[in-house]
Amino acid sequence: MAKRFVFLVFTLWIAVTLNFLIPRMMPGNPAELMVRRIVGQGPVNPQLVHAVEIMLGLPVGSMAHQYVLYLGNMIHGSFGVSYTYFPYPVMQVIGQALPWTLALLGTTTIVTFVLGTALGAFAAWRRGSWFDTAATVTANFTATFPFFWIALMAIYVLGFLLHWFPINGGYGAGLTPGWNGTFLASALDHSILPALTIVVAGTGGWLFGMRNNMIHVLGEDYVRLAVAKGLGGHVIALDYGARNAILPNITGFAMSLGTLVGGSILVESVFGYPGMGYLLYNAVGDQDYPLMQAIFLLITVGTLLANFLADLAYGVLDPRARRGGESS
Amino acid sequence: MARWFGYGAAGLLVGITLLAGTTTTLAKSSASDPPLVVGVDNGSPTFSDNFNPFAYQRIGRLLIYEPLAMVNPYSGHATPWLATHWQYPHPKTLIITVRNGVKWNDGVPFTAADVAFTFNLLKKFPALDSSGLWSVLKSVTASGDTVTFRYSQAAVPTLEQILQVPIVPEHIWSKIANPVTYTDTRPVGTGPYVLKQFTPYQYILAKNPGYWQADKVAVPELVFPTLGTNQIAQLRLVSGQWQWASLFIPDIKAIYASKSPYHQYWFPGGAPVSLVLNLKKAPFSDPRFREAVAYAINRQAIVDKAEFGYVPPASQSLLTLPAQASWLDPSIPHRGYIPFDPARARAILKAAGYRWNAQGQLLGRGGKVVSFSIEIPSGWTDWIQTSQMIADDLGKLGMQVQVKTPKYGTYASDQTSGVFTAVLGGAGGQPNPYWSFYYLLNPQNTFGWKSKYTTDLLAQWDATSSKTAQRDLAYRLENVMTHQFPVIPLFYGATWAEFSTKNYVGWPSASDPYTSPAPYLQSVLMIVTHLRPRG
Repeated sequence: MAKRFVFLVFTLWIAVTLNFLIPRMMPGNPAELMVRRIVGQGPVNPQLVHAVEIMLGLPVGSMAHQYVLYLGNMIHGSFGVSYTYFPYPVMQVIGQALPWTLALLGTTTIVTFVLGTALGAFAAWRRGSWFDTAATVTANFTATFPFFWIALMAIYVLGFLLHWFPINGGYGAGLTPGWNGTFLASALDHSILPALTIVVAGTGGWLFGMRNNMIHVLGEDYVRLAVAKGLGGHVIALDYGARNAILPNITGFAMSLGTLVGGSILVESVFGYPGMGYLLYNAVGDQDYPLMQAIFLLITVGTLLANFLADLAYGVLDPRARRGGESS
Repeated sequence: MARWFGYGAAGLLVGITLLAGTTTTLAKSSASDPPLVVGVDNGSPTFSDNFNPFAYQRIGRLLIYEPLAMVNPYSGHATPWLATHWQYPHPKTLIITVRNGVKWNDGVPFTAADVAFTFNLLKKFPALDSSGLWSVLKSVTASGDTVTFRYSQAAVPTLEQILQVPIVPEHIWSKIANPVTYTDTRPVGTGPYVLKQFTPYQYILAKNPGYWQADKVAVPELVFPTLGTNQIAQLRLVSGQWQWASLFIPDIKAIYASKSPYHQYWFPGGAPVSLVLNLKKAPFSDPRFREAVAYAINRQAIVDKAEFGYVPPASQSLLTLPAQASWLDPSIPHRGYIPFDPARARAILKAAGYRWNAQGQLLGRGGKVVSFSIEIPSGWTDWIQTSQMIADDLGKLGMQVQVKTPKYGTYASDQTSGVFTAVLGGAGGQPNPYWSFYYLLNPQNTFGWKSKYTTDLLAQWDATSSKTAQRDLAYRLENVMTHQFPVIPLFYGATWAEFSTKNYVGWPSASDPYTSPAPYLQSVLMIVTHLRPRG
């Protein structure tokens, strides 16, 4: 356990350090980018760049000095002020975006996982049936189609032409977030189209994984033994087949939960959804170091934590892993 | 730039939009005049609540805080606004008279003291001084209706910059500890609009009933929604949900203008997009070589293909024509437009002693084949295509030209540090031609221009408030441009502006170019005081 903890801290330190270095290795400086947005393609006024540099309070001093300062701030959970959303603090900007991502992607990740895995298991159990064929062909189609195409078609047909759903945003224009009926109804209404698109595009992957694993497991000797013993179809399908076949999918699920805090750049930018993915996209585009660093750190912590939880879940589901974990 | 992102994906929806026709959705309609929906402020994805006039955040700030005068972004003509009059009794002293009867939207009268306070605020907080005014100013003081600016060194061309500073109320801003990080969520200005409602996806400005020229303001409300992706923004504009926007749209006649007779647009040309060669390197250090390059480029073909014919070729004078025609030396042939003449280019090179090898490749002075690359930021597709066409044109003269497309950051830092060979870049385009020449030719330039002559001309311009003397200096600088070719202007960079005449008319246009039609410049104040209901 102590070993694992040391490893966790070491991994975190590497991640935090990379997080410091990578943005600083990008060419150009954030003030120049901001000025470019102000002046368009015209000539750049050096005085304006200078004023913007002072305004943003760009890091000064040697890299070593900046690094020490940065580590200190990390420990205190202080990430500074965002350049893009100047002068709002990074933590406040993230605090506004995170709930949206967690709600939308959290729900859809669970739904796609459960739906895909269940359908995959059923397809494998009834392999060769009409259901298997239909599910495999459909999943093949939705999983390989470019996501943005599905999203744009959904927006255009269901949103723009039919007016069934709003085409853009996380809630209605003119509403302020709060715990009231109007706002919650509007937020729900706005989330249906992106959620639907994610579920349609994402279920196929889980379905395939589960179906292939399960067919493999159903060919194992112990399954044949169970059939020979005369066990019921339910027991064989769920306790023998699905329980063993689901293990790789659990790892995948844990990983996708871990990266969830980073949001989905594609989904959120196509739908103008106010979550972490859009935030990250803008932060990178604007070289908003403070914001980028905070988001990357969140993703790192999320991934490490999810891995840890996946390990625990493995122990529950697979006794072999539990014993292996204890002996080492 | 951003407008080019997602260009490929846009094509799909553009195609569908063509078939779809128009769907009309109006925000609301009532007996009074309808609001104007302006799709220009890019919440990404939502708006941060910040109307600080010195922060580059909400565009609505431009309709709340006003400057001393409205400076036409193209011609430089200044229309009195919060100031009624200004003069230089001496090149080191500027006296401005402020308007009487103007009130802040909280009812407090606006005075000359507010103006002096604002400029002294820029001194105290250099982050607000985006024009570096306090590098030449010594003091700003108010007395009665006048404000006196004293300079530590003559810098007459700073007038336009002083006139454009947004003025803030002393009775509020004097209590703000740090105006740089102040978010100003309840802005108090003198402008035609006040902030009525702010929500993360939309904000609404309502007419200020106490505005000093309230009789000229016809639109009761301006609605600013977030933009969304390029594709969604275009759908909203084409369907008429937005009545004012600044979007790049390929083939605008078919996609936008043909949808409704009310769908109007005007894309006036601004800062010339220019070929910038690094003059520290041979053969670019040779003015005759640069002259040959200028004649070898087919600007009209570039404008037609890479720029969809939206903008005209640019004059070598560096002036923004026709808006700045009054500054142009009449003795310059063709108003500085360089014709496409490859034979002449070849003759110039020959006369200057350049030779070609057996393969037809152009040789530099040292006998090496002339070979270089042009840098453009990746994703700026029109500039990339322009560079490729330049490479072809110069290839016919025997030069080997490659096109490189690094990330914007690399492109910018290569120019700042002067390590490039050639780039496309904006030059000129300032309301006062002095700044067009200054930003390009000042002694700190990074593309290798060294000339005591131009430095002296700029210094003389600093010290004269005489219009005739200024014009004479402009003529000389234009002649430097047309004889020495420090950079080679290609075409005027476009300003994108689409607007609907369904509910309101009086927009600036090519036939009535009273200001820029862009919804993101200070000139929006000028536009909202010109709009009137369709009769």
